[in-house]
Amino acid sequence: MSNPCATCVNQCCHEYVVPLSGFDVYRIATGLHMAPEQFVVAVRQAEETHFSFQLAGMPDDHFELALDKAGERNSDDRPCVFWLPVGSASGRCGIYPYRPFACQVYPATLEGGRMVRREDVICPADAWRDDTFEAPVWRRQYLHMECEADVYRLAVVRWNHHLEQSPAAADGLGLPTYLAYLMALYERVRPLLALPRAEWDALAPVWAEYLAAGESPLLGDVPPQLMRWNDFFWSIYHTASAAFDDGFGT
Amino acid sequence: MTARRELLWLACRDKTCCYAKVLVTGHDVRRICDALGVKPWDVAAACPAEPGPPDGFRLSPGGRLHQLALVKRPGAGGACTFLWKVNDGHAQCGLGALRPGVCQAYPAVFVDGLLCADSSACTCRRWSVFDLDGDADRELLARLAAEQSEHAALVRRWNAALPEERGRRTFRQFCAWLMDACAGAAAP
Repeated sequence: MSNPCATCVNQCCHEYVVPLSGFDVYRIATGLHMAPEQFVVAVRQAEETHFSFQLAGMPDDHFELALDKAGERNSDDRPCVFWLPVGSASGRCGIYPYRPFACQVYPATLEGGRMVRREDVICPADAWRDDTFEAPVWRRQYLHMECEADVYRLAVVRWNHHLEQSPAAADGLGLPTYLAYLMALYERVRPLLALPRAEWDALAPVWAEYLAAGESPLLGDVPPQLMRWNDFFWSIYHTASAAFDDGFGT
Repeated sequence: MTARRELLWLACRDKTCCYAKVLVTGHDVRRICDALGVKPWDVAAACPAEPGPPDGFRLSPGGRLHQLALVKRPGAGGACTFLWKVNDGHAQCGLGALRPGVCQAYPAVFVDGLLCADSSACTCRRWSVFDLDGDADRELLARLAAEQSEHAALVRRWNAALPEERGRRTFRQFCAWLMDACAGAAAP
């Protein structure tokens, strides 16, 4: 069956602001050999979220990372900065191998234990067959995204804590420093996340289920059902903690 | 590890090489179409050719010669349709490892069997042979030459089979035939 995205003209790549995790930024930047500042924007949030970070000099503002858009700031039609106008009006992604997790799992979500099409997306109603998202690849990608988001949440918490605790250094803690922090952090965390496929397949559902209950093994205690991966969580936690304690040892 | 030439190319800001005419083979087009799920005429166009190219195809007997080239993005001053540009002006190829053989090899060329750097389409730097990756580039160029030769042979088959009396064929017909021929399934 052909992919419905190939001929769709509903322009998800134009309409949405694509959220990024720290790992997305790291993968895209290293994959394209570009500085994160060239494709990342900080989007001001109406209120604090799990993934909102603060920046120096703006104590009341909360930001999240997103992919930049192409074209003029005040234009009505601003596609993703990596969108290519090829073929039909749907176009194609210009960084497909490195595209963010949000794009990889779009338009699916996990609901009641089943992968289903999200209700709030702009895909045509009949674009996706009901059983499309039952393919294991959708669940695997989604769970991977959820677990990786937990790592990013830890990164955000460490950054915000440092900003709060270090008023003297705060002047330099703008977006470029935040992005440099993420790049350095993920350079060290990436090898830790490179578990064998079978190990990920065992860990991800348990981790994601714990997250769905509002808990995190990285920000709180490691529960019994995740204890066999205790060393894994501690190594990530200590790596993130080292960022500001000893400058990652540099 | 990313090759030295690849790193220099990725670092290039303007990518003026992507504003030149990019001549491609049927195999290039087929690879791109298979991967992106697009039609050959979405990514390639018939480009008027100078007399005598080995890969020049006609759409009618005795008609003008054309070559197969990547399409340009409308309103982008001749930029390749696959070139994206971030807001600070830095451009990169959206095809990455899927880009045509001639793009992958650029600026490496063989001149009388000698590996050289031809950077006539560049403004970023004057490439030197020391920017190239030696044996890897020789292998890439040899593969490209073999593919271009095969493409030229397919085009000769197409030209030879053009019907004298039934008039003009369309570019889309040529593309459809070429894609089948690249898959080893076409008879003109």
